[in-house]
Amino acid sequence: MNVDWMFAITVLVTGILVVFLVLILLVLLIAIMGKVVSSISNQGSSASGGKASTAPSVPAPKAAAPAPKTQAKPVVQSDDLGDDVIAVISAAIAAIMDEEGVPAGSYSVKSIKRAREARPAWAMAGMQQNTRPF
Amino acid sequence: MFSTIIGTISDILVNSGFGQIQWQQLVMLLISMVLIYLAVAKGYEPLLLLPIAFGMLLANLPGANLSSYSEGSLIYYLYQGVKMGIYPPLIFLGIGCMTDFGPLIANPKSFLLGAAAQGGIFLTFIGALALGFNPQQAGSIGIIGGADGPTAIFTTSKLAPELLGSIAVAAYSYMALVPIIQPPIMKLLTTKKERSVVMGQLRPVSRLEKIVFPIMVTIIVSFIVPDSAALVGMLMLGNLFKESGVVDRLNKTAQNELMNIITIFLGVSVGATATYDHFLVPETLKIIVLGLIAFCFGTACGVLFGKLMYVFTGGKVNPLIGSAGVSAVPMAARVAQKVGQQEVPTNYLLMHAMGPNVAGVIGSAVAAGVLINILG
Repeated sequence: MNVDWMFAITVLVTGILVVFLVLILLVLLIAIMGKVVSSISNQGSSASGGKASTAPSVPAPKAAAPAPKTQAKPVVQSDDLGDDVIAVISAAIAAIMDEEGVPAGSYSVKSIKRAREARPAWAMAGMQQNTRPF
Repeated sequence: MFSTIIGTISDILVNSGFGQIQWQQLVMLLISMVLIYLAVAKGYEPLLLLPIAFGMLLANLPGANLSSYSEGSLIYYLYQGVKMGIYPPLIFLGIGCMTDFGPLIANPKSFLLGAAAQGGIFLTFIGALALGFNPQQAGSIGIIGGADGPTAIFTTSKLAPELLGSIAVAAYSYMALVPIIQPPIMKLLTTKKERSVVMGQLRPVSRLEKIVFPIMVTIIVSFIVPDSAALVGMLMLGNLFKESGVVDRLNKTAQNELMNIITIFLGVSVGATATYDHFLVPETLKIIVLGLIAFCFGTACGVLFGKLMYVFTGGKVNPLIGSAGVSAVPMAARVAQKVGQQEVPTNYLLMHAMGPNVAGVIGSAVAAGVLINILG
């Protein structure tokens, strides 16, 4: 059987080209959409969160740099952390600092932020559980 | 009187299946039973393979006239939904309701992997032409490489309906064999270092983006390739049902009752196109071989493009996710996840692979539209 190779190559090239063109166009549009949406939401959050400069919403228990005087009183605290949690974290820090030999009055807890890890231990555990069947 | 009774009984025997059966029908009955076995015992895409196999069995019962070509029979009428291209888009509606395009929106570059994996379709098209198929048949065979059953059936029903049975069986069988076919190709084309790449977490996607996405994709794709509009439009309508969150009842119906009903109609009537005179021909063997080649080429193209992205991003993309670009949702993404975990057990590529995976569905629908446009 005679094959029209010219036609075959035309279909091959046109096909791949059109599929790529359509999908590249979608890549661009979705990237633009993502930018626009994130800038809109950023504007919204910065407008509303102007005063409440606290906002360490996402980011790990972290002992702040040594502060000269007083101890233990949290200066800044995250909205979603209750007093109990702050007390527990402060106690844990105090215990560790004590072990390390740092005197109790030489530091203070200023803020508590969640560490930005690639994937926190609990998320990892959850993912392991969810993807085990695969 | 005795002779009358004997005569009547022999008449019944002659008119029965035993009297009319031909050896080819017997072979087809055996093939359908093997497929039923694969669906039931081995779990090979049972939701479709089981009705397809049973449709095949019905179509080859001697004297029953139950094939999709027997005018006036039940299955003939069910088959009109395939012939007129009604069922595959409706299946896509249900798939859209079940698909989360979030990973794709979070990392739109995945679209490129979904596009690259469609290379298998067009390369196999050339192979099919070389093996003596006409261009319409070659296009229908190539689309098996899209690893998307409804798309393959939709394209074949438009271009080469005479091959519907063999192409559907090949497409669904290979989709079930993705975990066996893909890993050797993925390992062959990548180095240990590439397979070990741990990709960063995807950004969260807002509800607004998820709602705009289906509308935008429908408009863009349908404007450029109108022949894909039925498939992509229904896929995106289903997704809009899901993401809008305001039509929960429609969403549930589309992904459950409607999709199940259509699956039964589609499976049985596609299976019933595989009568012995259409199926027991040398072309079927060629289609099965070419289908496998299409799958392998698709996987290879996706992985190779993944390697390209690995180089251009300075090693941030794991090339394994490229293999998921062949659709076969979510099986191909799971395979990428599994092969990745063989190198780094704590590496979770599943969500990253879902991006190219769902992009592959859109990509193969676009490729189908292109083929229908050029060859139809």
